Amino acid sequence: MFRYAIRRLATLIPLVIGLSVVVFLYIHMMPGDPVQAMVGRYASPKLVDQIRHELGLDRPLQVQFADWVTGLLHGDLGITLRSRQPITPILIGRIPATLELAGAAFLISVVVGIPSGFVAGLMKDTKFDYIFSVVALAGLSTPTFWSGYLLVLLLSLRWGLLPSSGYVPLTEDLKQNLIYLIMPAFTLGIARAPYIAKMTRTAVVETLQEPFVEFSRAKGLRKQRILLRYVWRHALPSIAVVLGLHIAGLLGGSIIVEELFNWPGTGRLVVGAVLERDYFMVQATILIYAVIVILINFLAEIVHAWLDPRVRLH
Amino acid sequence: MEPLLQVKNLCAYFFMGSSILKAVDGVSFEIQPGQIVGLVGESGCGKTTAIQCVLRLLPSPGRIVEGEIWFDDKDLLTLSPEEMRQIRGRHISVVLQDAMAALNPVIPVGEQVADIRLAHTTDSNRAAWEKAVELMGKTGIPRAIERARYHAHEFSGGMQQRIVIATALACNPELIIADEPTTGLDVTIQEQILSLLLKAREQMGSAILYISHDFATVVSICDRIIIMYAGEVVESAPTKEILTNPMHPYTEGLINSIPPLGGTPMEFLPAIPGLPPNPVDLPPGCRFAPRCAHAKEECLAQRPQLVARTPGHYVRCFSYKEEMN
Amino acid sequence: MELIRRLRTNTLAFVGAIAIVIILLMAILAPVITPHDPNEVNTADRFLPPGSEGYMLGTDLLGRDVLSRIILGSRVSLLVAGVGVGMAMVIGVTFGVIAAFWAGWFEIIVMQIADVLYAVPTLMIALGVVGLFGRSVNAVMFAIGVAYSPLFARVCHSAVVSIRELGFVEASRAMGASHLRILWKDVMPNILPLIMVQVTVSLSWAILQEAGLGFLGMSVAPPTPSWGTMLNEGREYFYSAPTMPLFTGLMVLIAVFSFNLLGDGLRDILDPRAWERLR
Repeated sequence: MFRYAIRRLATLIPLVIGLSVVVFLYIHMMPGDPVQAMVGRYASPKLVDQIRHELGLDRPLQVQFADWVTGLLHGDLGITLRSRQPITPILIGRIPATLELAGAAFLISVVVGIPSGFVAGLMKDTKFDYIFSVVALAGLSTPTFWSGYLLVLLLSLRWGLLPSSGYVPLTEDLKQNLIYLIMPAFTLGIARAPYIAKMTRTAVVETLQEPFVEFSRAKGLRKQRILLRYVWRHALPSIAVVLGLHIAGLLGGSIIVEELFNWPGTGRLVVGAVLERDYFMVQATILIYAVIVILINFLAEIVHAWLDPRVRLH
Repeated sequence: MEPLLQVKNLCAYFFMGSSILKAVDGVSFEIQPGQIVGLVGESGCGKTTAIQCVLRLLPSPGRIVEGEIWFDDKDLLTLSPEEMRQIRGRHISVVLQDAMAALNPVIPVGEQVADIRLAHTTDSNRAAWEKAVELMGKTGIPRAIERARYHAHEFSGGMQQRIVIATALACNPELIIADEPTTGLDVTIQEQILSLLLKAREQMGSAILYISHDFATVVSICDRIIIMYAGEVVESAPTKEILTNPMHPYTEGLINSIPPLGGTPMEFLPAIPGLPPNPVDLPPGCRFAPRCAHAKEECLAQRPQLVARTPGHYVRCFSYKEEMN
Repeated sequence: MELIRRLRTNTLAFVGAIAIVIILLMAILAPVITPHDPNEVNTADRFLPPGSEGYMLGTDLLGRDVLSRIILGSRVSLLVAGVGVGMAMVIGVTFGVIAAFWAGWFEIIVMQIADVLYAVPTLMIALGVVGLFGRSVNAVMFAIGVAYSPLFARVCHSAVVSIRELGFVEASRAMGASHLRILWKDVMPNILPLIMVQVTVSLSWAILQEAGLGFLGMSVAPPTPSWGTMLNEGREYFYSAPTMPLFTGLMVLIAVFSFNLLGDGLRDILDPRAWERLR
């Protein structure tokens, strides 16, 4: 098991290296002069050159890259464009909010998605399954900004049950924090639940086609045991793999939800950075998101191998 | 002696849209306690469907339309799902052809032998596990204590089959149904598997229903042989009788198709010409008639019944042998 | 074609297909069928509620007819999604197939790049590209193209790899077939259904993506109406006049749902098992 983990880790390394190269080159992929774009159309060439020098963008690429990577290894993600503040503390300050949102949404999506998908898989081709497929598809097609808006319209404006935006850190006031968390987490969670539900259903359907399930019936085992140890346990590894992708999707989807509900997470940071053409910030956030996604997928693979011993052979 | 299993006129059809596939159409046979009965026939003759009926695990769109299956003075076809569940694994167990497919890849094999005991006996988890290890050892798996924790893919094909057999033996069933248990295994392993089954009969007194398309193997271990063709039983008799006095042309064909060991080598291995009938579109008369060298008009027009020509020797044929007398 | 006949039997997919045809017609005939000029500013009639005289879905912040703008907006949104996915398909399929075909270094590098891009959430890739290139139609198309090409590359790559391992490519080669011929006869027919399904599904995501980008203020710049931009316009006035963004969002939902229905149906029709395994 350990050896498998090491092997998978080894494949991560080129990925992370590739990622850092691509992210680094991001600024330089722009048509035209990035510094000009950052500083604005009306800046004089002299000012542009000065800023270029200040930001270290006039040095050869390899030097810039080496510098950047060294900084990364020390936890330094660069500086913001406007105020020249170090990015790392800003990001770290914002991450808890995003993690909380993504975490809550994850829980909601799993609680809604997995059981319904499991039942749908067992009851394949029945009315329940049919309705399930249509509802899941409709859910997948619903944009979060629309469902979020609808929720706000009903729960905040119409009925005044919940506040439409705002945030209180967990550590300060748990109750308030949760009140603000409910709608955004629900919007994101419900939006992503159909994905995990469908994947669960697929895993169950495929498992049910396996001969060993029929053999377990031939052994005269009780239904509970068959469902638990033969169907669920066998579907679980496939679900674990999907959960990795699922979390990545949640992180991506959180950007819009954060914007909608004014949730102070890293998603809003990205959007703000792109609007302001703060390419360093954009670079840093893309890198962090991608690294988190890579790590999560790695963990999902490890869990997969732990749950399904056959995988360890690869 | 009361027969252990009595199948009477079993008919199971598959209803697929407008066509009806008559997989099993009038199968009757008996198994005495402790007897090894062979069920022989080519692929598609309905032998697997027949045992699915006995276990009542017939997949849809199949349905049992007629017949009785008497086991231990109960008609299995009248039992509730829970009553049937208690019979499966405990009184009637199965050994399947593809052992790897029969085993759950994600849980330890020991658990899969233990859980059949947990389902049918009052064993505790610990006791069931210990019994499982013991059974695995008895069926010839080395270092069973350790290897019970392993998963299915860590065993060779022969070992996997032993695990499946261990499962089948776990609750001392009165009847073990073995569906082509040695297909795909080395000849030496085949021998070992067969001897395991024979030991089960010796030590536990279990009857065995041994299903195969390999006539030679069946002849070597079975006390009695049932020959199926196109969903029907065409001949059924003690092994010796079948070999010395086959009464159905199909049976003769099967016997002739076994390459002889020793003697002058033959030039051609005699084969039965033609193909079995389409189960959706069966001929009105004897189903073997189109391929039969001795077919008469009567054979093509009417369907022969299964009749005892001599005590214990049943044939479904219009006096073929009688003519020769 | 056989496909259309099979499509008829799968009712949901059929509904999806019909809906898509209707939407496409709406987009193509937009200039003709809009009840009002979508760009006509009419400050006297700002924020009219739905059901008002002559304005079925009401008006927006500048007094423009919401219904007309939604109809016209479909053009840009569908165009952007279509061209973007088209781009992604061409790039992704080409690189994915060639990488699997040639194997070796090329394969490793290409698939690594694809994996890297795949690791970044698609919205972020799109944001990044638009951030670099600005808010033009071309930029958004390019953004979608870049964001979805890794998916096509991966799907085609694993499909071709499994075909490769089946051995009939080698058999063809042994018979002296040229590379191109193998590609055409052995490889393409097998991946075509996969590509079709992937295109349909990607289109649904791309429409959603454009709307999302627009919501964040990153899609095509006003006054060109696209569904995304309209959503952004509606943000400021959401609490007082929510109907415009709600109807626009509803339109997005319908369009995405239609493509998803068709995609799911295609998947079932063409080859359910192979598709699931390649996930």
